[in-house]
Order: sequence, then C-alpha cells, then structure tokens
Amino acid sequence: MLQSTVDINFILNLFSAENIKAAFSYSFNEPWFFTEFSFLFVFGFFLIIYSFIVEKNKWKNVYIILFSLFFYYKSSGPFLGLFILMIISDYLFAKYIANQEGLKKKLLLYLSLVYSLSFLLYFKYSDFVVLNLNQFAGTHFALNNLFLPIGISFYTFQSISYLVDVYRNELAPAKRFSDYAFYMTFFPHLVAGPIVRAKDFLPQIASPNIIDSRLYKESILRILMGLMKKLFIADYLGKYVTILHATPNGFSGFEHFMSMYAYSFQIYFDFSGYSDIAIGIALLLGYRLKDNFDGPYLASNITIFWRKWHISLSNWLKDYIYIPLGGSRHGVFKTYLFLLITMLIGGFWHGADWRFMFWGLAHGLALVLHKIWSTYVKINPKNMLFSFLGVVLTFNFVSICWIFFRSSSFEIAFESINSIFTKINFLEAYTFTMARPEITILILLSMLIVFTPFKVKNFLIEKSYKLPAFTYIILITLTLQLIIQFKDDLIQPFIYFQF
Amino acid sequence: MENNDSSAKKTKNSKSIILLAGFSFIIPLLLLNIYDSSSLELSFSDIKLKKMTVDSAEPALNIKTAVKIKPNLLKNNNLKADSKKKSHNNHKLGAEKKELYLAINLDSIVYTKKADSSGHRIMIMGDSECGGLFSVLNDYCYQNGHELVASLVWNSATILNFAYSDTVIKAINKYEPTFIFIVVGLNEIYASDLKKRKSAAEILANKIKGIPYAWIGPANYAEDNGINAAFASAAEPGSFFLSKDLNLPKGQDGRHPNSLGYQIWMAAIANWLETEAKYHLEMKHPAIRGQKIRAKIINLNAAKYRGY
Repeated sequence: MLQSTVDINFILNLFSAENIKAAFSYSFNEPWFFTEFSFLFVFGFFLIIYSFIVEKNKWKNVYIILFSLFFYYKSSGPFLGLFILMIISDYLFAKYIANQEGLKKKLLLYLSLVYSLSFLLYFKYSDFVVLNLNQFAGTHFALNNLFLPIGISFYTFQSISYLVDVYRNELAPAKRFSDYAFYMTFFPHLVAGPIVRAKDFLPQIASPNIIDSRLYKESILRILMGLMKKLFIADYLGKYVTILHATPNGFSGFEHFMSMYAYSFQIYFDFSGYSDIAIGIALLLGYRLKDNFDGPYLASNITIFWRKWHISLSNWLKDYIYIPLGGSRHGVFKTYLFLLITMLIGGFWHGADWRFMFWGLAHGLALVLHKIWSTYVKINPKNMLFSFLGVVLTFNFVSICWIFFRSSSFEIAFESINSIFTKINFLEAYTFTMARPEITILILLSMLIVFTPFKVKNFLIEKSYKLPAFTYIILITLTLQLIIQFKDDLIQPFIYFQF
Repeated sequence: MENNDSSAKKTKNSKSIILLAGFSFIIPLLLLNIYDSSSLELSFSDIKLKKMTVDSAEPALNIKTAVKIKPNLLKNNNLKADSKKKSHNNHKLGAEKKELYLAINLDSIVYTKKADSSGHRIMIMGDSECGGLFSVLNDYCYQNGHELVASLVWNSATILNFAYSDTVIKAINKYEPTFIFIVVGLNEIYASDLKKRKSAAEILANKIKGIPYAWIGPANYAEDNGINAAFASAAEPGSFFLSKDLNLPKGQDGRHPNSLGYQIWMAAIANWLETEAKYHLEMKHPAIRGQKIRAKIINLNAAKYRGY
C-alpha cells in the first residue's frame, strides 16, 4: 500500500551524479552549517565509516582531518587554501619559537603574531579603516567589499593562543604536524568556536574518550537541544527582530521593549545552540569540548555574566590581553584601564564597526563600576532578594547593550532605546499578545528555559538518559519533523558565523 | 588478562555505539525523505505533517494579516502624490509620510479575519536597494490581497547580471509571478557605456515580456550619467518609475535610503501604480507593517556570482 504511493526513484535521485557532484562542491549561496539536513545526513555516513576505524588512532585522525577540511571547504570554499596556509605556517613558527631563546624568541613570536593577525585584519577590518579614512580624512579610497572567511576570527585566536603558550613554555609544540592540523581543523569547533586551547585539546588527541551508551545519549541530546534552540526558537524570534529593525520608527515603545528581549533570547539560543551542537558532535567522536555557556542570564552581576557568557572568548581575552597588559598587578586605576581596553578589543573582535566598540566599552564600564561597587558594598551572595534584583538588573543591562549589537546603525539603536524609555505603554501588553501570540509564547518559553534552575534541567536530562538507546532514533525523527513543521523559508545563518 | 578483555569489550561496544549513532541520523532523514517524495499526507490530530521540501506557501505560524485602522488614518493613507509636482513637494511628502507611519501603532489597529487574497503573485528583483524595499512591499501586498512570492536580491548587481544570466527566467519559471518589480541601477549610475546598458535593459525587458511589471529606477543621491534614461527607454511606456528626484532620507552608508526612506519610496511607487502606471496595481498603503515575510528570499552577490 505504502509502496504504491512512494516514488522509489527518490533513492536513485538522492545518489544521482548531479546530487553527488553538488554534495562535493562548494555553493556560495548554500554554505554548510550544522543545521543543514544535508550535513546531518553526510555526518551519519561519516560516523558509520568512523566506527570501523575508531580503534586505529592514526587512520582515525587522518579521516577526521580530511572530513574537517571538506567541511570547511563546504562552508568557505576557496578560503580553504588560506586556512591550510595558516596551519602550516603557525606549526612551523611554533617549532622555531620553541627552539629559540631571548630576544630572537620574542621577535619570532611578534613576527608570527603579526603574520597570523594580518589575515584577520585584512579581511575583517580593511574596509572599516578605508571607510573611516574616507569619512574623517576626506580620502577617496575604494572599498574592497571583502568576503570574510567563515571562522577566521575563531581560528586566528586559536593559533595565537597556541603560539603564545609555546612561547611561554606552557605548552610543548605539537610533535607531529598531523596533531596540530587535527587541533586546528577539528570541524565541530572550526567555524564558530568554542575557542579551544591547544593545551586542553592536544592531550585528548592521543587518548579520546571511549564512546559508551551514556556518552551517545549525552551527545544526541546536546545536538537535538542545539537544533531546537537554533531552528525553533532563535530563528523565529529573529524574524520578529529583523522586521522591527528594518523599519524601527513605526513601532511602538512596547514593541521595541519586547524586541529587545526577543533579541537577547535570540542571540543566546542561536550561539548556545551552535555550541551545543558542536559539543555534541565532538562528544560523539570521543572529544570533550568545554562548555561555552553556563546560564549567563542567571548571573547576578556583570562580572559573573562574563564568566558565564561565551566562556572560551572571555577566558581568551583574560589570558592573552588583560593579563599581559598588566591585569590587576599595577594598581586600581590601571586595572580599570586594562579592563576597558580588553573589553574594547573584545567588542571590536565581534565586528568592524563602532557599534561593537561601543558595546564593548559599555560592558567594560559596567565591569569597572561593578568592581568599584563591590569594593565598597558587601552583599551576602546568599541573600535571595539582592540576588534576584542583581539578575534582573544584569539581564536588562545586557539586553539594552544587545540593541547596539543588533542594530545596523547608532541611529536605529538610539531610536529603539528612546522608544523604550519614552514611548512605552505597558497597557499595550494585551494588544501585543493578541497581535503576536507566537512571539509572546516564544519569549515566555525562552524565559522558562533560561531561568529554570540547573537542578531541574539536570533532573530532566538524567531522566532522559534512562531511555533505551534505540528510542533516541525516534527522538531525532520527532525533533527533525518538529523543526520542519515550524521552519521558515529562510533559515538564518548562525549569528556568530559573521564574527 | 582481565583488563585486556574488558578493554576489548569496551572498544567493541564503542564501535557499535558509533554505528548506532550513524544510523541515528541516517534513518530519520531517510524516513523524512521517503515521506517527502511520497504522495502520503499524514496528519496528527488535524495538524498536517509538513514535508521537507514543501514550498511553504502558508505561514509556519498564524499571524493575523488584515487590519482595519481608524478613519483618520485611512484619510491620511489616501495621500496621492502628483508626480509632476513630486520634486517640489518631496520635503512635504516626506514629512507627511513620516507622520503617517509614526501615527500607526497598535492602538490604532482593530484586527479582523484574514483577508482572502485573490490578487497578484508578485516577485521583486534587483540590487541591494531591492533588499531594502521588499519588506515594505510585503506589507503592501498583505494590505491589498497580493502575495509576495519571491524576492531576488542580487547585491552589487547591475543590469548586465540580470540580462545576461538565466537567473531571471529560472525565477519566473519557478515562482510564476503575475507582476514583477525590478529595482536596479544604483551600481551603475556613473556608467558611461550607456549603449551597452540600454541593450542589456532591452534584453531584460524581453525576458519578462508578457508579465506586467514596474521598473523602478535607482534611488540615487547624485546625478546619473543617463542610466535612468536608458532604462526608461527600454521599459514599456508607463512601466518605468523615475526615483531619482525623490528626496529620500539616507541611510548611514550615504548610498542607500534608510528605513524611513524605503517606506517613503514605496509609498511614492504605490501612488504611481494606482494612478499613472501602465499596469494598474492595487497598492493602498498598509495599515500595519512588519508583516511576516512568506516570500522565498534569494540572496545573491554579484561579487561572487555574476550569473553569466
């Protein structure tokens, strides 16, 4: 009965020469993301072959490197060449740095850093420099309109951490080129982090985790949660935010207010969803990447927020910018200054635009203010009322700052903030829920997920580990169907891909 | 010995688990593909299970699409711009439109049932200015019972891309529009090879012949070298809308209109379509903006994909 209604040619079509050619070609308009079903399908086949070579460490590593390069090619096309060039040169630089002493060693480090950063600076910031020169110095240089290679901000930071760690003698350079290539290319963290440190990852290459039933369940759950966060929540909220930011001056203050929260949740679910998928995929291969988020919106102050948000970047900035600048070793004033500089650089890392600098500066100032406040005011962290007020204050501050992150100009950002503070009418809440019930539900759902205590979440996760392994196939099917059911025509790329 | 056995057992177990993981992705995706290619239509308590590649003509979630607005707003909405006086009245028009749009808020909206659309299937294509215009056009479509079926935004493109590629024909065949908006020219306002551009414009006009269209000239902020005249002569009489005299607020980059600029631009186009254009198209100003975009959005970049 079923056979008569199914077009069996679809299997032939699936493996037709045209489809196979497309599967191995780079498409500028359809770059590979973890959320592409075609990726998940190919990843399934990748795992099947992987299962046969998992115990042969050498072959397994080569296999993962090749797949990772293929993944990067599918995401960024010709920039694969640039990426390989960077890997080879950084590997050689690290070797030379480790064998030198004194001034020569230092000069080699600087040379390697300038070399690594030059690609990032050229692709990401050259147009920004030209634009500002034209605007402020009256020059007429033409813009390059360069395409930013996907993930360059992430893998440049990884290569910098590797070179600096080798220079500081905190890490021995990778013995084999294949080890370094494995670390740099490992596809789960390749294009949007987490920014993995060589000293955390290289030791795992020789002895990855053995995949057992529990690890399988943990991985699949992470991947499914990531897909749901991204495709179900973030993308839908993103649609609303996009509409509002496209024509901001026609929306009421309350709409701007809700859009601010919608974007706060969108960016969190988008990026933490990506991190969940990346961590889940790595785990399925036997490698554990560190968590990149730890309930950041539950932070009761801005300092704690930065320990919980994009943890790998925060730690990187602390270890390779804040501490080398002087950290807290040179008195109070300089500590604040270094903090501000670090956050400004952090902001600028996110994008070549003054808005990102402003966003970084705002967070830097908040961190300084919090440091001053904590010097003079001692609050018992167990005080529930103050903790609650702290969470509310921090979340709202972070949300307001996100407006600069999301808006395409200062003009729009200030217009939005102005609407929130001067034109808001909370009586519109009812109209809003009637007019946009889906957005209301999604914002409430987001709040529920974000503000649910870890204990409850962990309890539910532990319960789901008790399900038999085969039921996870059903769970995946249901999740994918749910995504299809609610998916929009246009799946938006991960926000952090652009950084 | 016992340790070795245990290790071997763990490795074997690990292999089977990874194998299971591989099939955990393949089986569901194969099932979804089978369902996709079949004529089966499964439902779960009145909810139809969607297919992977279904062209989702209906919105994923229900959003109310038609509204009534207060009479005073309707009055404002009927603003008509006399195109002959356009260049003199631009400032005034801008101010009126701004007031109009600022006036529309949730308080003024009374929701009614979704309108039954029997209007046009509209496709818009063009350069980056099309990217700014399509979401505003989408609101007009909602208001007037049309359906915006596709938006082909070809960033950095010129008339050459549209004329000498098969992209336009493919898009027409796929989305079957009954009305087309073309918004192109910003990237060639200083072009001096006008003969070549004019013949490209004629090729494009031939490609879309038979389908009513509105060819929108670029909203340029500097005098062009004649590209508007070249396009106007290639387009069917009464189908070309000259945008260059509009005084549209600039965006931050100084090249494109800002969001208000796009609204004003679209309002002027709508007035022209209702009053003077060869192909009349109902284009009352929308009472609510920011409607859900159901159109297929195709984003191309001429720097990477020239199309020919």
